[in-house]
Amino acid sequence: MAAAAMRSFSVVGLGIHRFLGLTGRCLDVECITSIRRCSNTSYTTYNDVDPAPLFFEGEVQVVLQRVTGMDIDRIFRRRQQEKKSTPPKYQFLTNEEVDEYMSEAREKAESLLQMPPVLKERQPINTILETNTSLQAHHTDKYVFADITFGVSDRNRTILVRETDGTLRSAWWEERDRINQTYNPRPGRNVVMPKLFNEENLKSALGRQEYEFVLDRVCAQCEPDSSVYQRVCVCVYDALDTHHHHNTLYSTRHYGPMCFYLAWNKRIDSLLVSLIQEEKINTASDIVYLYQLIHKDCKSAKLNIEHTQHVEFIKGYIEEDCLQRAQVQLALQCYQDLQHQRQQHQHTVTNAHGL
Amino acid sequence: MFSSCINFYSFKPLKMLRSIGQGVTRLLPVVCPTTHMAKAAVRVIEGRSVTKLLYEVRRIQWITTCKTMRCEVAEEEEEGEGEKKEDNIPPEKNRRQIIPVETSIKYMQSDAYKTTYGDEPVWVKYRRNFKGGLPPTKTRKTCIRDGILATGNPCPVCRDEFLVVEYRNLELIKQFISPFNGAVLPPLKTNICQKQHRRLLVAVNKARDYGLLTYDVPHRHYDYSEYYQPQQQDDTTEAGR
Repeated sequence: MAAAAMRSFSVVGLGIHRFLGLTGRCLDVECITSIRRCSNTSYTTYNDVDPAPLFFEGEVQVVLQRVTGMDIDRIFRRRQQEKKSTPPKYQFLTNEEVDEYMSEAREKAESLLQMPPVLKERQPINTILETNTSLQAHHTDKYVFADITFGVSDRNRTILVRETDGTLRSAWWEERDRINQTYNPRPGRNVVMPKLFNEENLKSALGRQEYEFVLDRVCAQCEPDSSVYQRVCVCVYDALDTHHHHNTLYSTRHYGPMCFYLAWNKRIDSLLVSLIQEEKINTASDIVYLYQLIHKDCKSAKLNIEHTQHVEFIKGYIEEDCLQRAQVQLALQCYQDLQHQRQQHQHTVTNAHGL
Repeated sequence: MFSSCINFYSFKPLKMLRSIGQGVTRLLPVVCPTTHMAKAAVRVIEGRSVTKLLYEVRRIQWITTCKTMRCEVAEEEEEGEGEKKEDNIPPEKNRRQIIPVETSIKYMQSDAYKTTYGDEPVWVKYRRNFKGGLPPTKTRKTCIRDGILATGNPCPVCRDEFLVVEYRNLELIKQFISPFNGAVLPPLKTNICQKQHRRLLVAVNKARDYGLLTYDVPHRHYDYSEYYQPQQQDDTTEAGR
C-alpha cells in the first residue's frame, strides 16, 4: 500500500486536534530492520506458530506460576511512585484477622505476579473500507475517526483513517497505539516510543543489568503482540541467557514468559544449570516438564519418568534432548555429591549425639 | 529616542557574538523578515538557544536598517574588529564560557568537587536570602543574564560553572531526585532558580526516556479474555472489523 510521508493529520473525537509526527508506516519499516539487527542467534520472535493456545493452557500456566515463586520481600519491595508516603501502621490483631490480612496480601501478590500474555506477532492491518475518489481535493490532512465510547477496550476500539485521496481504511497498529494513548491515557505509556527501545540504548541498559526495568517499561508501553515488544523481550532474554542472570527475574511477572520463551526455543540448558547450582531442583524439574508440555513429541517425554522424581526426571532429559549435555550433567553431579556429603555429615552428627 | 537607543543597543551584541566564536559549529545565512536584507553569515554559538540568537540578529538588523545610524555603526564596527576581549566582566561572574557535559561529569569525580561539597548534594549547604520567615513560593527567575551572574547569591547550580544540568550528567541529576518517593525535589527545597529547575526537569525526563535513570514503572494489569479466547482458534484482537 503506497503511503506518502504524511506529517500531520486531524483527529475527530471529543474535538479536532492537530497532530504532528511521522505516521506509522515509517515506524513499521524501522521496526523490521531493527529486528534483524538485534537477534543474531537462533532467538526469534513468535512469528510462525501461535504460542497463545499453549501459553494459556491450564497445565502450562500452573507450572509457570509454580516456577515463578513468591518471594514476599521481592514482590512488596518499596516502590517509589512519586506520591506522598505515609508512616506504617501497627495494629494488634487476632489470629483470624491476621489470616484475613495474609490472604489479602497473597491475592495482591498474585495480581502483581500476573504474567504478560505471550502471543504471536501481530500482522499489519491492510483493511480498506472504501475508496471514494470524489473526496480527493476535499482536505489536505488525514482525518482519524476513533470510537471513544465508554467501556470499549483499547484492543477492540474502532479506529478509521480517511486519507487525502479519499480512501477510508482501518488505522495501522502504530496509529492505533497513539490514538489509544491520546483518548485513553494510561500511566507509564507515552504517545512517542521511548528511546530506551532503540538498539544502542537497549544494549547499554542491559549492560547495566536493568532487565526488570526494561521489561516493565515495555509492558507498560506496548501491546504483547507488537513487534517492538517482541524484539525488546528477545533482546532481554538473549542477554539474560548469555550472562546467566536468570535469577534477577525470579519472583517477578516476567519469569514465566522468559521460561516459556526459552523452552519454546529449546534453550533451557543454561537456565537449568543456574537453577541446579542454586539447589532449586524442584524448579529445574518443572522447567523440564514445561519443555515436555510445549514439545509434546520430544524423546524424554516418552521415557515416562515420574515428574516428582526430580533428579531422575532431569537425567532423562539430559540423556535424550539436552544440547549442552556436559554442563548440565556436571551441575547435576555436583548437586548430587553435595547432597550426599550433607547426608553423611548429618549422619555423623546424629551418631555423635548418640541418637 | 534613537540616540539613547544607540547607546544601549550599540554594536556590543555583534562584538560579543564574534568574541564567543570559539565553539563555532556552523555558519547560518540569515534574512531579515521585514526588510528582506540578507545579512552576512552569522556564527551559531553552541549552547545558546536559537531564539536568543535570532533576537540578537534581529536587533542588529534593526540598527542597520536605520540609515541615519549606519555610518556611526560602521565606525563602531571597525573599532570593534581590532580588539577581541570581553568588556570588563569580573572573572568570577563570567559565565560566557560554555562548559561541555563531559567536563562536568569529570568534575563530579574530582577532588575539587569532593572538597567543596563532600558527599552531600550540592544544594544542601546553600542558604537562600529572603525577607521574613517564609520564603517566597517561587525562586528567582534566573541567576545568569546575558552570560553574566546577575545576582549576589546565585543558586547552587549557577554559582558553580562546572555543574552542567544535562541528561548525561546523572551524578548531578540524581542529587535533585527525592530518595523517598523518586520525584524531582521542588525548587523551594533545593533553591535553584526557575530556569535551572526547568532544565533539570527536561534532563530528568530525557534521562528516564533513554533508560539512564530507572524508576518504578506503574503496574499494568492484563485482561486475558481480550488476548485469548479458548473457544475460538484465533485472537479477537483485529480491530476495525
